Amino acid sequence: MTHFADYIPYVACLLAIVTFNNRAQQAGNPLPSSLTFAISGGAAFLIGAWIGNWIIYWYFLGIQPANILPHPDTVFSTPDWKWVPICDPVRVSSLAKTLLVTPGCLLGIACAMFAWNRQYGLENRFIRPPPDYSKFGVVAAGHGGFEGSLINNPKVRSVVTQIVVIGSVALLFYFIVANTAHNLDRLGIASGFKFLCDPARYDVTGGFMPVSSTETHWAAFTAGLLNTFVVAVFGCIAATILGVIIGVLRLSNNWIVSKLAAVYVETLRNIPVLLQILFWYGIFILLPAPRQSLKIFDTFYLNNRGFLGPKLFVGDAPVLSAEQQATMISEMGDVKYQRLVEEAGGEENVAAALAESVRPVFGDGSSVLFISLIVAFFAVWFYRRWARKRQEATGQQSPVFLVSAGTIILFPILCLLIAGTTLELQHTELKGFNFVGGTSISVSFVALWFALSVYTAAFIAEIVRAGILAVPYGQTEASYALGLRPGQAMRLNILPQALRVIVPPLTSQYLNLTKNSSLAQVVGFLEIVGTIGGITLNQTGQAVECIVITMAVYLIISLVISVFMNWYNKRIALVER
Amino acid sequence: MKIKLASLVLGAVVGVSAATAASAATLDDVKARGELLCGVSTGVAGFAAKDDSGNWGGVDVDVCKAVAAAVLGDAGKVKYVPTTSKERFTALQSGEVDLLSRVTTWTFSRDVKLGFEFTGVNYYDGQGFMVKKSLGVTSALQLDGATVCVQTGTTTELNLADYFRTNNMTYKAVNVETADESVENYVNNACDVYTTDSSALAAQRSGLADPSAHLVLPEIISKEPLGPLVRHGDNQWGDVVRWSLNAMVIAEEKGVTMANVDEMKGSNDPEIKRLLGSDGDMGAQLGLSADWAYQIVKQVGNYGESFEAHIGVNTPIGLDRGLNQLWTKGGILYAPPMR
Ligand SMILES: N[C@@H](CCC(=O)N[C@@H](CS)C(=O)NCC(=O)O)C(=O)O
Repeated sequence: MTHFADYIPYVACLLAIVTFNNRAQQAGNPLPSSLTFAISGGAAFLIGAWIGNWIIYWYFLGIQPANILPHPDTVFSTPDWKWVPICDPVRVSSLAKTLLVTPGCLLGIACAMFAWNRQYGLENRFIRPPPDYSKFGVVAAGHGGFEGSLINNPKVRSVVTQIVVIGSVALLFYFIVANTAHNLDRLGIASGFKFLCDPARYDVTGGFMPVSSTETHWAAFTAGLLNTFVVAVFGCIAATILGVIIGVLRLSNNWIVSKLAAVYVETLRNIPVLLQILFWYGIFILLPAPRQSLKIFDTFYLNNRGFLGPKLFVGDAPVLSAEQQATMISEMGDVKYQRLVEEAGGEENVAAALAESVRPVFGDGSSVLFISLIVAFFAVWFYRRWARKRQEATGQQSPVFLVSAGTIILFPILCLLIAGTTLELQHTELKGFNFVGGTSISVSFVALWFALSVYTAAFIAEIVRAGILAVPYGQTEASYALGLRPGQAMRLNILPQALRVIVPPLTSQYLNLTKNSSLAQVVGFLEIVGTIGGITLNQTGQAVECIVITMAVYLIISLVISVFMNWYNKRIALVER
Repeated sequence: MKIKLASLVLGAVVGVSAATAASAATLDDVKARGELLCGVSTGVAGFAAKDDSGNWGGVDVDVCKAVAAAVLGDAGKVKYVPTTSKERFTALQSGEVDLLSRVTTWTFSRDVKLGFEFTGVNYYDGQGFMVKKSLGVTSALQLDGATVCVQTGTTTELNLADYFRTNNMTYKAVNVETADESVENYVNNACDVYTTDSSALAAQRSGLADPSAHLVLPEIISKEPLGPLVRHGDNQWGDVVRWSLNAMVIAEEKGVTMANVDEMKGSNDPEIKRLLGSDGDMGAQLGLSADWAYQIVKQVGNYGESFEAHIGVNTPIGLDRGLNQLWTKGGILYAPPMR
């Protein structure tokens, strides 16, 4: 139950701030406003956190928050993001906190900075001075300074118009929502987001995170989200690389090369992407069946189910307590347990087999890898800065690429060796119908990824070509005059300038690719539209909620891409002198 | 300007309310429209499929026709809306169709949670598996690790998950949206097994290049009572659809056929008299004309005729009546009395 008492700390906090401020102002002696603002920021956070909790619990999940404060053990422990604990009442509270702490703190800090600026007036960036009406021959009277009726007062008019517009939009929105809710209710269709915590009852297979039918719709959704994400990210990367190559080749002086590139572009961008996905899928399922897989060095296999290879485990399997083992065994059921004992070769090996079955790719002791990677990245960053300074000062170049790549690859390996971390390869092997163990990528994914990349690359190639052509030819000649080789001229002079033209339209190609990934349906790859926007929608009948979630995900992904690309665009635009 | 804006908003609001508050009286809507909007599948031979001349036929289609005959007096006044398994419920909920007659399993959650009303069962089915004989598999319990073709948004998908889990087997699913895609994937070896309602398995097996190269495994892993459904809350319309189907079953039970329905009008059997409208006012009670059931039998036929014409032993699909035989002949088909 939400207690009336839950309100008390927040309301008290707010009241205290308001009174404090008022008192101080009445006394004509404002407090150092940074303090006030910091306190307000903190209060804003608390209130935000509380409202957030309340919304998540009560509205979405229909659970009354038992405890508003996060459980101390749970604040930052979300080991696997599938388990982002939306459906766990204790841990969801900590999630809400984590999500809300950040904006709350930022708000607090921003307020404090604002106040500090204002007080010391060092930089009056945030505050515009009042307009000087006197230069229009208007004598200041009160605030607006306009004579006559209120209707003629532009300030009043603009405020009223805005209120009316915002009010109407809000009203319209309210009516749509209320109407939908009413109609759903009339039809006896459930609404709300509680279904996310019900068992999904379907399996998500063939993607990058298997989810079993006993897990929740939320888990199935996160699996779909991950699959969408992987397609989008890898698709954009591949499309960019391919697109840049084709775009540059199309400008080649070699007639054959440039014509081939032109044919690529003109063919691929004029065939609907749906057909291309089906085409590649049709090609890939022509590969031999698993039992006759194509082998590469006896470690990699290609067949009409997917591409398979070994899996690398970094670190050891977890050590399971007797209690954990007991629960796992009891959940397993007798038949499965017998099979496990058989496969492990006796009761005495069961503990090891159990631990192996839940062994993560990055197991105990793998933190060495992450820490050394971070260290390597920092080292490289400093090294590059040093190298640039040196080049600017002395004109001497350093082998930046070699050293960077070497450090990032070799340093972590060295650390792993010194620390003696277990590195183990798990090979994939044929068992019954298919391969088990190792890493596998389904044919559906490969076809989808391939088709999207190849299709989008055709558009990117044209964008790249346009970008390069937009750089005056004099730049190329200037580079040659400085003694740069054609490759260097392209890499160091032309491409960086072309990027300014390339980046904005490139963003829309990334967005297109991401949205086109929903065509995964035709090859049976379950991404977000297949899971929450498909099976979950169909099984729960909660179309409105599922579509809202699906749209929100695409919106968020698109916004993130846009924000990132805009940031990048600004960054490269600044290079201009 | 403000006034304009306000009227605009008001107009929009009224428009929205008018658009979403669709009337609950589907029967009136259908009569006024002069056409029945019937949701069917995108194509399962014998249940709902287009023939070479583009006309829909099948046992599911016959339910649509029966309702149109009863309500509009003409079995031809149906607009068929093909729906995939995934889209079908949204189509019915949103009012895009008046009735869904599309190999849809009557389940608790669809009946209760999704806001529908099932109005009977026109085929008692169960889920099965089909494999290529060359695989050497003879039982579904040998399918551990297999890749399975399945249609998304079906009970099939859920039963599959349950069956493999309870039998401690693993599988990979290729989830696609239409029956055609599933079959194509199966034929092209994108999966080892194809699973769906066993009636559809039979229908689709008959359409394969070499049906004898494929084996339907003996296990039936679920109950799939397939039947027509309407939106919950419009009881009058629900009654019309329910009794249109019942009329077909009762007609078979009483031996009323498309051929003899005119002479049966003069029968002395009181139930036949009530069925064909020569006694009582059952048509009026449903909001239909007195000869509603006569029109069904005359234009569409009784249940048995529909079955034999589309999926019976003399068709390529060749399904036995089995459970779908009348209760008087050893099956479980049993319509409540018409009185
Ligand atoms: N009875 C099951 C399955 C129904 C179903 O969708 N069957 C497929 C398999 S044949 C079908 O009819 N597909 C036709 C289509 O895709 O239009 C259910 O109601 O969920």
